Amino acid sequence: MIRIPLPALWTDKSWRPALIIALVTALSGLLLVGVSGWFLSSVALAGAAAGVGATAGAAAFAYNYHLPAGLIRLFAITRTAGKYAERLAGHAAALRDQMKHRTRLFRDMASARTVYEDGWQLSRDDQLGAFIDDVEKVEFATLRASLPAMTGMVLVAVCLVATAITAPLALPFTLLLLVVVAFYSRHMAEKAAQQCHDAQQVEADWSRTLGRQINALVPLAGNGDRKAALAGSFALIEQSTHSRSEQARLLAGVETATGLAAPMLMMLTIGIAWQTGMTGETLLPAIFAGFLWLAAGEAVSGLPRLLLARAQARYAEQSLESWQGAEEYARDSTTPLRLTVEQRDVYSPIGTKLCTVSGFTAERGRAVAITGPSGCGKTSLIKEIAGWTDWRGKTPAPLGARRIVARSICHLSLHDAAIMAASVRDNLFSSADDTSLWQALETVELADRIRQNGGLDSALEQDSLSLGEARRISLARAILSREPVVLLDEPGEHLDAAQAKRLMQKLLVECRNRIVVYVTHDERLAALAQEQVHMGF
Amino acid sequence: MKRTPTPETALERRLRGQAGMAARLSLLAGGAAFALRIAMLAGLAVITGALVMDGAAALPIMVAAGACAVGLIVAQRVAARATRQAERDVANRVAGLYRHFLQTRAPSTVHAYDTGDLVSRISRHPGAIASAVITVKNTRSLMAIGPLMAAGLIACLSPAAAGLLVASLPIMIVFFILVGGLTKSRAQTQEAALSQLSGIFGDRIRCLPTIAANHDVTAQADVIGAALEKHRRVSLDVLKVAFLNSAVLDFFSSLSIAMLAIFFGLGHLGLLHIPGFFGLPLGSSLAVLMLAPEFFNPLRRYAELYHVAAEGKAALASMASIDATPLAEDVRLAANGHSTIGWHNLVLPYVGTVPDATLPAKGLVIVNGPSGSGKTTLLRALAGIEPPLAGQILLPVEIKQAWSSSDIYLTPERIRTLYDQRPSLFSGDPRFAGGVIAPETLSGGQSMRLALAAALASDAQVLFIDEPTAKLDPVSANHIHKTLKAESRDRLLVVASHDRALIAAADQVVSFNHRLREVAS
Repeated sequence: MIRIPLPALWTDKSWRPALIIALVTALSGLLLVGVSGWFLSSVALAGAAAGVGATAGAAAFAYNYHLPAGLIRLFAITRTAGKYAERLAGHAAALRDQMKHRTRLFRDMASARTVYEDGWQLSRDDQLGAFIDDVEKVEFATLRASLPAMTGMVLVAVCLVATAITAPLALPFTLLLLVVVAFYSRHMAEKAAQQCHDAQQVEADWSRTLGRQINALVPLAGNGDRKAALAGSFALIEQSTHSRSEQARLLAGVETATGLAAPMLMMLTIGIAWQTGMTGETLLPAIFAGFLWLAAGEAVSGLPRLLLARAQARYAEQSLESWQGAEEYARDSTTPLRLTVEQRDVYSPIGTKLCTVSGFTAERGRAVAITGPSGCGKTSLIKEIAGWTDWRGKTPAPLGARRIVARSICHLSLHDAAIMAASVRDNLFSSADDTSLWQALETVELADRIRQNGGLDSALEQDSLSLGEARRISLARAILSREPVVLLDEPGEHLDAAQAKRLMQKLLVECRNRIVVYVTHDERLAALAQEQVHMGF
Repeated sequence: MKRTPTPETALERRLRGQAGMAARLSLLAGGAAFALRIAMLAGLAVITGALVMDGAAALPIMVAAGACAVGLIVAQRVAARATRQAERDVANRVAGLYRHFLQTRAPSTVHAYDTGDLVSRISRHPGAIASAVITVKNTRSLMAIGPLMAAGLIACLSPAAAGLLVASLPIMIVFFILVGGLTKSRAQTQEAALSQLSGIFGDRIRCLPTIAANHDVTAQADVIGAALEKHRRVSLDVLKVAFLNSAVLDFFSSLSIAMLAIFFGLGHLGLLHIPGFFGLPLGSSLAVLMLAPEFFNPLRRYAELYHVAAEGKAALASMASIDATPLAEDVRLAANGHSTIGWHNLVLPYVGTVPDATLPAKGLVIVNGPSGSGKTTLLRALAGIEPPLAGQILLPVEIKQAWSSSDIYLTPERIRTLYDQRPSLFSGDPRFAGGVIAPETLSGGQSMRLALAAALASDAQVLFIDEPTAKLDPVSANHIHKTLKAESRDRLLVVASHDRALIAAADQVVSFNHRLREVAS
């Protein structure tokens, strides 16, 4: 939970200064307007009592204006400086929260099942963008909702106390008005947040469809379906736009109401005090309370937006939860001597039986290659062996029943391995010395390319490498890894046949002291292994 | 002299112009709401003053204040409705521009953009541009009109106070320029560092499965932590300056209240004899006090839209560049009296000149060559998907065509229908045994066979088929050879392939082999 409950703003070390500054600033703003209104009314009465004209100056001697004028100047300066300090302290605390939140979120996501299953959705720009939006909504909820809520409540409480003292009869009416405004705002904000959430779901749907349509633009054009198919997606986009504008409508309506609340509260307090017979000097305290309400207007009119931010953060938090898991890590030092898989069936991710694979045993220096037509479940099988997904064979899992233990002793080379925006060294995930790193790069025929790039500490990005180069970085990672079991998914993908064969030969030599199993659709690559297993329908 | 507008300002103007009435109404009603709000506040001040001084308030002024409040509600509703309508209109037009882009450009033009990036632009830009074109623009106009209206009303009550407020404007602008210059220089040097640091989290999330496979989660969490710590320090540095902007506004707004309260107070006491501060009724001085913050409010509101404006501007710029990409037109010629497909002096991108050829009306034509030699490029040009650089492609009049490649667009329902139409193509693949199949989970070979099933099921006379057996095992491939040969008896099949068995079965082969040549068999 990143959203801090209101009282915790006070107990949290990084938020307390921000809260204190915000409160002082808000109270100064309140008092600046309250005292100014009261002061003007009070001096006007004093001036009128003294008469206008030559004798007017005499009123000044009877009236001590130095104190209120000094206070007004003090409040004005405090408010100005306070606002600046409040923004800075609030952002400092929020950014500190962000740091804690993101590192924790990253760890929790790494232990979630989705990471280990097929098709990592957050590798796509649009999905990642929506995800980051959610993360930010949660992180800034304290700054945008909790902190202003807390200061707003204190302001309203001060105004209520002032009203209770100066115009007690106005209290029930002001309370009633406040309750109505609060409930109305809450209701509308919840509704708007709900709509925003629904719109996000619709958007997630169409963005998936549209992405697939863009990728399929060639066949769509070739069959003359392009206009019709895209028109369907864009109808959904218009629907998204519509619901976003509905959300704006809800918010605009409630903001009109809250914008008028402050002047109404002011007139309510002053008017009722006057109705109860207060005039002249006796009305002055009520004037003070009335101007306090006027100054609290900013806090009251911001209520719908604040509640919306809170509700949106709640939804965002829910959707982030689906990415998080709670599996622990395990680092196991056992070194298995062999990896044995008995004959078993292979299933698709949704549980359809795809094919049968005969049993095999891989040992050090005795690599096994699994071949089979596309779509027969090669990737599913190798992920099950690696402990990434649940083992679905009838006989026990080859690397033990605990998935996390299996995972910790395997190096799994994914067929869609990514390149981080980091140095070459970081991208090799190895603590080995430079000589070993260069050796590994030489083995995968990337040394020249990396030298051109500027060496081990030069920066890499996903787009700075071709698919074949990325594939070879991934093979270098496998060579440099230290786990006793190496599992490779389509090691020859994106490489031409001759290079794939060359690299695989070298990799098998490098990994002769480890257990190696790889899947491939290329029979020639499979022929390099000591044992070949065929998967078939 | 007339300056030529940049593409993005031209686009902005065009969109704003198209929003028309709603955009103007939104601005007008917004201005009216502001005027009514300050009038209402002035009314309330006068009532308060009267209650204090005379113990009673005149009915007309109470009615007027009430009327202003009601008018304010109406004006705000109208403004909100018009703004919404205008923004929706602009958003739909922006989405329409993207739709037009996707519908009318060559696939290669579209695929020059990353798909995920394009989808994320289509989801963000309509809203961002709508806000920039309507809300930001209206707020900017109100920033010019609002303070003038407030100053005008204040001048009616106390010209001196109005003069004081207006006099503060140039000083404030000087401050803004100073602070703005400072922010800009600071932000520019830090911007690259900031976006790089904040991008590390997203990048590591993108790479999470790879990081997990390499057992580096803990170390990468530390990398993220360190980057964000640096990001925090740098951004606080930038914010220290950036917040000065709002501080200038807050300073003038607070100062004006304090100064006016003290001046009017001294005036009421008879200690200050400056005309405009002296001898005013309480109602007027209270009104000026309440209106002074409204003088600065439009400025503040515009300042608050800084991020929205920046985002909209960036969106407009990238939208303008997308809008400027060239259209792809179908340049194929319907050749009267020509009953077959042929080409003449054809030059293809990345391939070069293709020797002229005429294809039969029926039969199996194989376009052959090693991968990357231009088989697919020729097929796409013949099918009218990608325009050639030069030359002519001749087509029979009113010909119906179908296209088959593994990147076919599928839905779960379509998968089911296509499978049921030609189950024999799938050689008993158990994936299709039952249940809903998500298109994302299909392999290349499975998609290819579904695409083939779709093309064969159509009544087209020409079928363009790209690599039908590339990802298949020998048994399935053999079955496809037979199917294609059988189909070519009634129509023309143009197939890009380097499958030897298929070439052997061809009626005609167009061969790409480093140097292009056509071989008739």
